[in-house]
Amino acid sequence: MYGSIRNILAILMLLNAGLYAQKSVKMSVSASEMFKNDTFELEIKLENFDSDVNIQYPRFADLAKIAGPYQSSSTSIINGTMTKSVSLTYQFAPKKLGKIVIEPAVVTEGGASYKSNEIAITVFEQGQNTAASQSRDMFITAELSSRNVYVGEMIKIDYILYIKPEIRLSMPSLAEEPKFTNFVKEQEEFSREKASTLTQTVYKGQKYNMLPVRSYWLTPTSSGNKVIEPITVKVPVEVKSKKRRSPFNDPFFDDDLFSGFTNYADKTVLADEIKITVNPLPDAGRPSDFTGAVGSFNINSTVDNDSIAVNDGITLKVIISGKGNLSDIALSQPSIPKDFEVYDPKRTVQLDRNSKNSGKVIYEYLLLARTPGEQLINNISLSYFDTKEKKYKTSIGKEHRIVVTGDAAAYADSQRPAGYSRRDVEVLASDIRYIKKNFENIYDISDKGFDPDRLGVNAGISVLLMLSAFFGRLYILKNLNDTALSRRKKAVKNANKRLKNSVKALEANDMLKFYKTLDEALLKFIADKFNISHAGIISDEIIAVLTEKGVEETMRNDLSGLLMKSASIQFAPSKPDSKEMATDLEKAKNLMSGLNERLK
Amino acid sequence: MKGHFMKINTLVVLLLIMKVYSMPVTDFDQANLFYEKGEYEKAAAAYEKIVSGGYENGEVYYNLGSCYYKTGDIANCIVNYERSLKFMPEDTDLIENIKIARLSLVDKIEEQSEVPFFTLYSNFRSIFNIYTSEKAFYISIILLGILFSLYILFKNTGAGKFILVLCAGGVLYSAVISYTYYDIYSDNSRRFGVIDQDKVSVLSSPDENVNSKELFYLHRGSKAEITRSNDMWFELSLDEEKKGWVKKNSVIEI
Repeated sequence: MYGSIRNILAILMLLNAGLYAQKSVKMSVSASEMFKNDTFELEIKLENFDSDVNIQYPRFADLAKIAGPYQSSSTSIINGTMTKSVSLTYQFAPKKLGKIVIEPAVVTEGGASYKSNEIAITVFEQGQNTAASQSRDMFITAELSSRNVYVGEMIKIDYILYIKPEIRLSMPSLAEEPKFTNFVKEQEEFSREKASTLTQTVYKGQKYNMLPVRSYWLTPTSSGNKVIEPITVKVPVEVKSKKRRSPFNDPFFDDDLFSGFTNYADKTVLADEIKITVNPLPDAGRPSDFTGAVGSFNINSTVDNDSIAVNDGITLKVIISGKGNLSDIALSQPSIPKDFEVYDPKRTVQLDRNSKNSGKVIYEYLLLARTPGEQLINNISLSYFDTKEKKYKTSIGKEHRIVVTGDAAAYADSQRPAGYSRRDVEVLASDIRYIKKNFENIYDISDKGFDPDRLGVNAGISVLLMLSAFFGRLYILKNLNDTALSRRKKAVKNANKRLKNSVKALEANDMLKFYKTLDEALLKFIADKFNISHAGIISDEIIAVLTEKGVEETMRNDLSGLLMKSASIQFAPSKPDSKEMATDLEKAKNLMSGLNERLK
Repeated sequence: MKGHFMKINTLVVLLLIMKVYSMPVTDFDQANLFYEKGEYEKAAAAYEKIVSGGYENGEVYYNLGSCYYKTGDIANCIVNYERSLKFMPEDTDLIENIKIARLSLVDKIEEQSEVPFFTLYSNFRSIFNIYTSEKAFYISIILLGILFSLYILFKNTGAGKFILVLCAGGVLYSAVISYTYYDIYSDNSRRFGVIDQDKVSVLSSPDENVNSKELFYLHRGSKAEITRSNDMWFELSLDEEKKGWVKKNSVIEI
């Protein structure tokens, strides 16, 4: 318990020591330019000092002290930082004309001494230069940091409103913002204090109060003579209104409290238009990696570790610092070996306070080592156009050698982070594919093109084929008919030949052979007559065909009787009878000649 | 006796094949050797010798285009790759090389990609080139003749119906082949040219006097259809709108 309290106390003490920010002494005046009879205030501000200090005041030699010093103190905490300040305020009047320099104040505390800034004021004779400048109640000036610039070179433009001190006014507002064609603009934010504090000044021999209206940072995007249109500001000016009669007719109500509010009337003030010459960036000597950085820059790089194990990461930090169009700077990718896995860099821009064109740009690359060995990271460079020396320059950063130790296989197998996908095969260069080493066919160019002769020959062959098939068929059909005719014609002749066998069998008294040959002769005769095959012919079919052809019944009966008889004798032979066989032979001969007559 | 005849027969066939193939094959191998050694100009000359000797195929033009790519002659490279494309339209190496060759062109011209109405048909078509499609066409004519002859002969027999079906198939096949041949032939009849100068102004009429206005510029390697020509001039057409005349000597015809 006791220990924890002591800890808390220690932390509080540490905080106390850390929280008090820098000690500083500042000196400021309410007006830096004035007439001889004017007075001004001088403030010496001590920040974060203890009360026990020794202050050595400047010698106010050319000044007459009218009042002071008044002391005031304040404490503020901004972003956790405590600021304790003590102010000493004097009122002075200048004793001479021209420039008066107020030396710095020195504060000593505990042996260390802190010096403030030096202040110069200018005192004019009243009415000086009045002939030269026409007295105007209020006007706006535009102050440019430069009127002759290069494309990409930033310029600052300040619009300041000047008002005669006797005019009382309220916060001016912007009626119309100029169109900054061909420029990229960035507006500078004013603090509330700055935007609403009138500062006394002398402009061309006249005393004025001045008030900053707007400030822009402009980056020209194209070359040529550019014109910026005037800015228009509405200034509410106090108007002394006629006192209306009080409705109560009582002097009591004529008091300021009741006599109504202050009236304001808008007055429009225009600034002059501004001409700017924008020069193009020269083509001569432009580095190939130039990406539009204009100004003056310096490149520096660091790695957080130059010896790592496989799968560990390092951070490569590239810092570009300097003055110029920092926000537009694009760093070309340093050459990082393929053995590293590179993630898209994180880019941060840190601009200096109250400035848009100075500061630094930081690129942070996260590299994961995937293969062991010594790796070289180089080519960290930035090419820019130096506007002062009017030529291109390249700022080159350091080389980094990184030793990667360990086993590459570890990555390939187990150590692959979850959700991490394998890399695509990277294409290093593109080239045409290899030639063909052999071929199947090669063609004679003289064969190319449509040849009607060739079509004719082929179509002719085709037609000839079909014609020959047609005539071939005709011939075959005709031939088939011819064989039938000759068979018919030869039928009797062949039948007589066959009957000779029957006569032989009759003479040999071989009844079985006789009827077999007789039967055969008859059937084959009819088969020849009708041009049908000998095999498998049946007597019933023959009778049917004969009936169809209109042969008489007696002749048909004779034929079927004879065929039946010869068939039955062949299957059941009886005793041969030569007489009967002779009559049957005669009968067959008669039948044949009869049929021959009928079937011509 | 019969064996002797066969021997003589094969010898004649072999001699014929030798006559046709021996010369280009050795030249082709010779040219390939030059290419392998990196002597691209010599290789290109050797391939050109095959073509000027009256022979062509996709592989020769492909290798020739590659030689010209290596020597930096992008116009001739494109010309020969385009010629090769007529023989091997589906070759992936060739398609990839054409893409790479086109990277170095100045003009961005949209290739008029003809959408095939039948993938099946376009696949079938890609089997053929101008030579083989003509051969297939003639073979189909003879085939039709044979089929119809067979039908005539065997009309009334049992095989008749079967042959009729074959005939129908033959007619269909011949129709497809004929169309393919016609398609390839008409594609081959279209003339294309490739610009062989760094920058050519395309004129509104085929003369160089004041009447002729400069319509647009074309740069080396750009391909355009030749729609008309006379002694000295080609009329080039990129599309319906961009059409004009260019001198013949600044164009290589594909």
